[in-house]
Amino acid sequence: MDTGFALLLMAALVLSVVFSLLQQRTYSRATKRLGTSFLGVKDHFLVSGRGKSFLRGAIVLLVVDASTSRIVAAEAMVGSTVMAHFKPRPELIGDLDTAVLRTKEKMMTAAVDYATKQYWVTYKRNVAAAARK
Amino acid sequence: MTTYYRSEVTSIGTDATEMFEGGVVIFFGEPCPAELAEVSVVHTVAHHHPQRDPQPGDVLRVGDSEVTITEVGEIAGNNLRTLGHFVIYSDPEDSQKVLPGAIHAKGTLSLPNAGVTIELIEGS
Repeated sequence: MDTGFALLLMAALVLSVVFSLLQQRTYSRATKRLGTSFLGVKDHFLVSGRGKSFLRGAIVLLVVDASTSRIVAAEAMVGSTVMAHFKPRPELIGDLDTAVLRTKEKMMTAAVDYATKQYWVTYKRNVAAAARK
Repeated sequence: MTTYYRSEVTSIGTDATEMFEGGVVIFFGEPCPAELAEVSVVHTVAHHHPQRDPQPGDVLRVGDSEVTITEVGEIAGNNLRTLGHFVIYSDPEDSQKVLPGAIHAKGTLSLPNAGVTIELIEGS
């Protein structure tokens, strides 16, 4: 293999790892910000989902009120660069089960669908845990 | 103008700097779990009027910088009293609804150092 090409490949891999770490930190900060903004509020769940295409991706954070099954806060990070930030997505506020119908981009649909499934799995686990007590 | 809440910054989390740049500051009173401390301004309460919660028009002063409160989430007052906790969103977008534990404010806070005083002051 050409040395120049090998170095370029190595640099691309290192950059990819760095970008992943930066995005992970952005995600972690956003979940803590949103989570702490709901601290003390009962029966609310914070769930997330991810949708990916070849070059771009979307991550959504949804806060769901379990007593009404409604999304009460929604944010998403959409884009392909490390400069992408989480921004409010007011169009997702409302009924959880129809939230996917309120998305316009394919990767957002996938992300909201994933988050919705995650919510129901978490909710059922909580119900089962409460029943065992 | 009366100060109804006063505390002192004890530490600033490593990730709090980037949150400041994004216009968001998470405050937590001591003791604060390590996982939250890394994104928060942790402080120790010196004085709190027990019957006064933040209201629109009040001023939040952190060291030399201050912001004016424009909107207060429904449980932000309770969280402040019990945990010394509130989340400030500086100059949020108009479409951004205030979250239950959040406080919206006009203006920008600068990153404090440990030892700096945090004050909540009644609006005039």
